[in-house]
Amino acid sequence: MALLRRRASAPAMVADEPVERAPRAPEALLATLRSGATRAERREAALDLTAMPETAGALAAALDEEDDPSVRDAIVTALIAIGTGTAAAGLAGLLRSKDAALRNAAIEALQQMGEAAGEHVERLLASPDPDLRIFAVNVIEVLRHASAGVWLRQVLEEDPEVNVGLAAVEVLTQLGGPEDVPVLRAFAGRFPNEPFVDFAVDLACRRAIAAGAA
Amino acid sequence: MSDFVDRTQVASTRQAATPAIGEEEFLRFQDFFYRKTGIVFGAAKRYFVDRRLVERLAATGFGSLRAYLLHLRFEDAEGEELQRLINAMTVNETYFYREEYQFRCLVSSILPEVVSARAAAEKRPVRLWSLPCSTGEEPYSLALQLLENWREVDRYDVEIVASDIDTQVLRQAQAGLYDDRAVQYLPATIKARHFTRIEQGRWQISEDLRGSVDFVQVNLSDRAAMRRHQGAFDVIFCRNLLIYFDDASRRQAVEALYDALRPGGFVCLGHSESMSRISSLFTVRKFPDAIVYQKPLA
Ligand SMILES: C[S@@+](CC[C@H](N)C(=O)[O-])C[C@H]1O[C@@H](n2cnc3c(N)ncnc32)[C@H](O)[C@@H]1O
Repeated sequence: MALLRRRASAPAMVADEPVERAPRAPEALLATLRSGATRAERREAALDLTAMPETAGALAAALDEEDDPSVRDAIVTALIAIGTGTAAAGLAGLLRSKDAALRNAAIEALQQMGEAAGEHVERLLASPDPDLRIFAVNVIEVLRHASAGVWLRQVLEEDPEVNVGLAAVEVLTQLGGPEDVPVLRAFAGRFPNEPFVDFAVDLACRRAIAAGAA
Repeated sequence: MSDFVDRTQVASTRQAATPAIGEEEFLRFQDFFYRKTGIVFGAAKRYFVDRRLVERLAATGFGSLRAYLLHLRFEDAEGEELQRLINAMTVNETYFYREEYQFRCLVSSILPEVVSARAAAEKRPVRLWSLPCSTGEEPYSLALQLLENWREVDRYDVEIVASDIDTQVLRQAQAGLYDDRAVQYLPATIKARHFTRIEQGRWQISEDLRGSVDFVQVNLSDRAAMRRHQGAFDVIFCRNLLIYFDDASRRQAVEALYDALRPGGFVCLGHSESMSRISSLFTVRKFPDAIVYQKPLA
């Protein structure tokens, strides 16, 4: 019969010796990830970086440069497993990329981070860096988390940076309902000298009211 | 009213008899176990997990989960107690010819593609992996299906490897002893040809078949262990394991399966497990008998 006999050499059941590699430093792994010759090497580097959460920012940046779908996938897997605020922020940053495949990869990853990403939203929203707060708003849009409404209203009422608020207005233009109109108007009231704010808020309110009527 | 009294009494005796496991300790344990295995226990599993933990605490003599965890972290260098704990925690439910349509798909669609993609001079065997294999019903079903239903079985060398994280089930698998429940979906002719009835309700699979499966312990969530099998397989059956993982460990597992396959290799998942919700690494292949996932050729 053509089913092969059990390997005589391997005593059945004993775990094969794991192939241990000399642990590589994060810098070496990142260098391989960026310029490794084969995709297998780059995939391996990305997956090994899962154990080094401090590299999340660099991993997200590498996603932007990588063309091979299987390596991209490995990077996304590593970022999801790392699951920290920086990982979420790095992914959220990619939501603004012109590359649709990359945006989709980031969206997919953030959605899979689910609750984990949700937890980081609050931390990102409290960051002193307005860019990170804008990323947080992008993440909120993607996650459709139960607290999304609360977070967006908080941004509109409190965030000192007009661009962060505008990002929230943009999200409400898509997702808002009539109940959001007062907060949107109040936001416009906080920035009376920014003509674009009035325009954006008007649009968002019209859409929100229409959504309520529909 | 009396019902109410009874139940509280039962609850309080149980608590008195077993060291209570606090919420925070439990979360710490959950996290530890998740890191080792990828397995997540939902809140609904709390009773199941507590009971097994209490058993391990009693067997090892540790007075608290905290002390037991410290032991696992710092004193269990060979991982012996960790292995016993893993053996106690896994859900090993399985039976012969489970989700048989996938075996039909293997024989009528997958294997023909695998062998036709090979160069004529190719000498290496076709390699199949049952991961996880639990008590062996799945890899032995593979062997039975090939012998009974694959016309080309004599033209190719086929190697069947079977792995699980649980060493206890691997020992059972090798012994090849089964009760009526495990063999209930096997046609009588197959049972007659390949099994011996040991006693009432006990069956042993033939020595030939036992010798045709190579059992090796593997933890799918362990990168070092999986590295050993890179590019080694044509087809992997990974059924009814990913359901115990969360999104993050599921994705990592799928990456490891991808790396364990040859280009053009196939993965079969359980019927409630869908690759499209995990990753887009694989090409979805809709065969007449089943949907399976293929690693791209290039
Ligand atoms: C429900 S059984 C599935 C058996 C068979 N594949 C089937 O579908 O009938 C699940 C098995 O997965 C094993 N398992 C759990 N975590 C694992 C891991 N990280 N690596 C390998 N096996 C694992 C358990 O020990 C258990 O035997």
